[in-house]
Amino acid sequence: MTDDDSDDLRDLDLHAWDAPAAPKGLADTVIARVVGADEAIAVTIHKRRRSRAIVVAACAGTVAAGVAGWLGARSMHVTADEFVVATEPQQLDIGGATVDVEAGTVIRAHRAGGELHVVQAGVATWHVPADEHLVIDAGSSASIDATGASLRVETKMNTKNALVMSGAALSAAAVALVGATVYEGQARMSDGPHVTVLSSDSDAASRAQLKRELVRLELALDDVEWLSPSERPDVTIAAGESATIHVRGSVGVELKSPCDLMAHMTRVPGGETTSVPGPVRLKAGKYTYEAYCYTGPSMTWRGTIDVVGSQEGEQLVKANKSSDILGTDEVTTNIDGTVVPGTVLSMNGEPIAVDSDDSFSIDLEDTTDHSIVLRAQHPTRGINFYVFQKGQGGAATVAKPAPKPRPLQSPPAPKCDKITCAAENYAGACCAKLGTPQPKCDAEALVQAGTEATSVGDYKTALLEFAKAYGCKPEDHTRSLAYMAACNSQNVGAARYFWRKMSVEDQNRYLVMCARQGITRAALDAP
Amino acid sequence: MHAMAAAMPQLDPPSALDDLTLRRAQAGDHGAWRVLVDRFGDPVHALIWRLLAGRAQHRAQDLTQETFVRVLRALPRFDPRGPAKLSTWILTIATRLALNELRRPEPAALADEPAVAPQIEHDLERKRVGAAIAAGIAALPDAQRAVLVLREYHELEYGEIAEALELDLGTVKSRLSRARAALRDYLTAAMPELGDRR
Repeated sequence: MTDDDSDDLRDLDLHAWDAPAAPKGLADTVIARVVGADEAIAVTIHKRRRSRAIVVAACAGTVAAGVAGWLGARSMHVTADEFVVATEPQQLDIGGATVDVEAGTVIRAHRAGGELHVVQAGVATWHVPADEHLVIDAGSSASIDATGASLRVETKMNTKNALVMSGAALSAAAVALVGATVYEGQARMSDGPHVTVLSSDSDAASRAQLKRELVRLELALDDVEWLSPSERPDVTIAAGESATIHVRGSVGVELKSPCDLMAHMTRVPGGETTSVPGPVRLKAGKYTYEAYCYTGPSMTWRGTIDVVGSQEGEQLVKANKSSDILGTDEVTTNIDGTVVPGTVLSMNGEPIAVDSDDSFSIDLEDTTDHSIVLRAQHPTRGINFYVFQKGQGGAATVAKPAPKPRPLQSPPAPKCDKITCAAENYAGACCAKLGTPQPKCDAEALVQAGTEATSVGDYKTALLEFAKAYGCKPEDHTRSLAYMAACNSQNVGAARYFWRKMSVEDQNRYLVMCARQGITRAALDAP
Repeated sequence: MHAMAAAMPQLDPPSALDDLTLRRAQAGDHGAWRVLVDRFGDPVHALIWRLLAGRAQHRAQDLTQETFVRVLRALPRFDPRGPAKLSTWILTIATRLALNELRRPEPAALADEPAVAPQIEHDLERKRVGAAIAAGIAALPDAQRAVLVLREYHELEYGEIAEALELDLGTVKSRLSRARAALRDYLTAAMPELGDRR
């Protein structure tokens, strides 16, 4: 090392935290994937009444050519860096197999070592001849394979995760749930060392499921992701419009057009490109797009989308959002501010009245489950969107004092809750219903359990274990661990409980632990 | 103390690939690819596994695989005479994939995910220190953890870290300093005897 290292960790053996070795067979797997990508798999589309399947590629230029070519032909060549998105039920030939896919199914295929490897998201019924070996990858150690069989395979998606498409890698890494039903012949479902043979001869054995995380399809352009079907876009831009979007973080964007749209997005600068059918999530940056219909009329639109921070760039609107929580469910939100003269303001297509002094005020109810988006259009300064995302207070451009602190900052102090009672070793009548005092408990084992929970990020469990340990044997060290776990789990009440037990010196020393999690000294000192 | 620097094992920074093997790998020679993956497999996996600490370590194997797929595809464009060493270039790709993973909404870690390496560990104190370090590093913000892991476990220079993470040098130094201080705070609280022995 040549850098000057004034390192106060130098006396520690950080390698006491060992990392496991790389998985066995890594080189074989990687080479098979890379080589497989070079082998083309023929996909023929049958029963095509309308142009409904999209072939998506990593390189947008390829997509443009591929889709255009496909529209005029009954079949096309798909390489492993491309995959099929079915927007209506249809039958495809992939390699030696035929597959009936349901609408919304995404399939990627490549050949490796004579096997037809497939990653699938959605529902498909496969017909595999005796001379073909189909392997459906469902995670690092799980797969379904079949030869000479017909089987229905369903991959359920975890809707918490975005469905993201990648030209480079449709990975089977994260399948939520895979189910298979064999209609003819046999198939084998493997999950690590566990193998289940599914046969059409036995109803009981013909169905099986594998739990895995969601199939994740990653984009070549990391800053653009497909929105999952469960997410609704924040901003809708008419195809052909250019706009600046002011937002904190990323934003869901949909291009609106009279047809099913394929958008070819290019990052500026950088030039990375990707193609997406449907709404996307964009990170901060400037993008140009070229969008065209893949069904219906032959139309093309071009424009730019500039995603900037809420206070960056030229501002048409100075606005502030504040929310009032009226009860457990009721939330009202107020947005008020001013606009540059000549600006036309709207929200969800509805015009917003602007007063003669260029000020406006909007009151909204029940806004907790979606973003609030202001659209501002100026004759010379173009179109700007201001996105207030759900659960996010603050201002697009701060013109007023900060919004009221969130209730997280000062909830009532716990009196007879799970953590407090654990820390008091369940003493007293109030805590008796939550546990029994343990006169001979093992504080060390409880601390160890808490440390292990912390190491996997399970701070809630860690907090409970440390609290029990403190109740068992009230030591400063254990109290500090419990306090840190409370901070990390954002349990303000518990953090305050242990905070109060610290000396002033320790409080000053450990304040930063909670401060990193947004819990202020005022919240810790609150009665 | 067993876990002090005197007992510190030799770090295993990825050594350079010889020129001939690299050229063969760039030309698509599968044997050379295998050498490259075998040579860098462990450090790449270790890097990703540590960066995903406490969050998504079950994804480490897949991201390791994905790293090498991207490395092999991009290898013809790697310039061995350029500013980045091959090892740094590969670790950069791995780091970015891991950080992208951390930015995604992710379900909780799988219940059967090992908290520390599943190897047999006879030195209980070292194991305890290891668990505390794992917990302390897992608690760091992603940006600080990346800098710390690249520096402490993979011995990247500040400039290399800056390039890998697209940061300026000052930011790297300040993040590293904050990460070390935070980890030290954590370890002092978790294991007060460490402070006593300094």
